[in-house]
Amino acid sequence: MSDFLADSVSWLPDLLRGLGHSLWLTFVSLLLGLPLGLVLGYVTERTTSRPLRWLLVAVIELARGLPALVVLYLIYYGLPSVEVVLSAFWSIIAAFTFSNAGYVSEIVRGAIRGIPAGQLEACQALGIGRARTFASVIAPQALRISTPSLVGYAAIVFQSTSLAVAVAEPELLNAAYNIGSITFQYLQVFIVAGALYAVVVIAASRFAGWLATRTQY
Amino acid sequence: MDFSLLPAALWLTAQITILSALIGMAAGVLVVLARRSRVAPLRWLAIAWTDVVRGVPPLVWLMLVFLGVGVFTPLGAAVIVFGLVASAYCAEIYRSGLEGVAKGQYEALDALGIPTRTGRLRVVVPQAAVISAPAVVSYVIGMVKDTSLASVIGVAELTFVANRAANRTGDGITPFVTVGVLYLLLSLVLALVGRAAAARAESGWAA
Repeated sequence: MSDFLADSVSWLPDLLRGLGHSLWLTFVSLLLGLPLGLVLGYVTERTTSRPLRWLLVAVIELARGLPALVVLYLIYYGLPSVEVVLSAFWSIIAAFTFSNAGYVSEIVRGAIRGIPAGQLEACQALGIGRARTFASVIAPQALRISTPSLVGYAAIVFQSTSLAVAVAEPELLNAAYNIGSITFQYLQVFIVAGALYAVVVIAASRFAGWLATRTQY
Repeated sequence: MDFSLLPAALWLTAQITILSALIGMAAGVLVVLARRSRVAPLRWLAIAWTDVVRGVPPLVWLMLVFLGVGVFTPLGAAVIVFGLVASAYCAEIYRSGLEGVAKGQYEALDALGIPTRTGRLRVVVPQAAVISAPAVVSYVIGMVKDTSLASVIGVAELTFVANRAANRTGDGITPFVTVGVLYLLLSLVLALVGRAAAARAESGWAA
């Protein structure tokens, strides 16, 4: 037991560096995926053009229906065939942004449907333009309604950064795997890494639950 | 790429999904029973189980069970891990299904003097099952995608076969687009089967 503790402590610097990189991957892919998902959700929900709506729904379903790992491999191993070479980091960001945008747009579509139609009618009656209606009336409320779901979703994105191990990006799981392949103490190192993931995820979902009780209206 | 490998790989993907879905749906019943038990330590255990199982990424579980425990075949490890993860998610789905049964139903059981056990089994559970069914179906459809992670520990399912083909031929587009389409088709088939099963369950219990 004391060996286990001593080993774990000696691994912590590497694992925490990996955890930091996992959080950074989460942050960057949300930073790109959230606004994209918000716009995608809004346009899909509000557009009057049927073909455009079908196209966007198809994109959203594709983003949600394909395994993120397959999308990641397609970008990392496939795109070089057409002369687009992305580093492991940007392949991950591109793959996650794609699937994030799909999920976020579904959350946002639900939230936009939750905004009373009378507000849109009021905007029209007051002659407020579409862009301004979106930016000052819809977006703030839709974000508020969907914040708990989005925080919960961020926890899922954080978990899925572990896929980055498949393209050898130095995040938490990769750090754990490297320690395991040197020390052969796979069980111990994956338990410590798993605990680090769990602490972040459980904290985030508790926070999401707390937000949900605060922002209900 | 060698397309003749795909049927076996597709079957493996379907097998992992179906086996672990069955394990998860059955074990989920045990977890939700513990979660609603009158014995406090059992409840704590169930809460800890759902939180910890869902808090650790499935890929970490796969590596922990396959490399860490080290006694399972890749396929065995994958089925166990996805089954255990599904048990936690199914338990939460069942729990909200049970909470979704109208309070009046319990009061009616009391008023009619129906014994608790009979009432729970024949009145509450069937309704909770109907409420939970769509969520279970969409969870299982989501599992199809998760099984792609099994490729990382060497299960020769769709993603693994595509990855090997990409490495051998240098063409990274055909294999991954092909298996991407297969994943979508598999999800679609499961969605249709699931919808039919859910509709059948509903009409069966309503009658």
